[in-house]
Amino acid sequence: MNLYETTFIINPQTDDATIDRHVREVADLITRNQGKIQYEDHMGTRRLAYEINGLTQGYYASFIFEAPVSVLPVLQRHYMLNESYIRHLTVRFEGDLSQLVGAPEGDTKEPEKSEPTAHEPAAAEPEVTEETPKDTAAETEQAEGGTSGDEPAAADEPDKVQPAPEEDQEDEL
Amino acid sequence: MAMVKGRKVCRFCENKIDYINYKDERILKRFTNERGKIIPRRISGNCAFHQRKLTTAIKRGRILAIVAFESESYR
Repeated sequence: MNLYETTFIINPQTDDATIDRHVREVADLITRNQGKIQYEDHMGTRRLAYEINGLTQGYYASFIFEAPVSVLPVLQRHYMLNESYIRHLTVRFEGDLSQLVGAPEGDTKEPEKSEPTAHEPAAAEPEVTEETPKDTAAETEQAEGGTSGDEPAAADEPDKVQPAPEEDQEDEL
Repeated sequence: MAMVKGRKVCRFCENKIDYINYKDERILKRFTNERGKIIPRRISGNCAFHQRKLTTAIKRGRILAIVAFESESYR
């Protein structure tokens, strides 16, 4: 028995009942093949980073489950046969499950977090402005292909870019 | 390189993060440039261990359309 995580995207252009059915189908498939679902996450409809089959949005859901290897081909086959699943990924879960089980507790902490996020816009804005020059710098660097221009660019950038994201991450954690 | 003043500490080590979630758009985007390319270790300052984990996470995120393979504006 191994811990796996399967994430899939369902075509959102159907009614909620159909989407729900597709999610349950996956869950049933896992449990019917001696698998045990440890954690489920319905992320809901999100914007896709790129168009897939003309779609710009997708319904995301994921399961973390403990199951024998024999489940994987069955799952794979299920995804492939049904066109409603526009993307799917099953990988070994390497994270800490105990942190996820405590996720509902994490929700209660969120109102507290709203205070630091009030400072966030100030921190986030310079981050955006700083990233753009960095990128253009990186590109001119590529275009010139000069080894002399390579080092100063690499040395300067971390100083500018690092402080802002660092603050963001601390808020998140 | 001795001239470099800025401190380069792996941010994942600093915050004691072992697992980088491939569904976390914010983290994945932070370590890709505008074009969608993965920012090298030399610039991001990540340690080898976390850069490896991050690269895997970004690549998985690309499959699931959480981060783009290539930015639209450059197409």
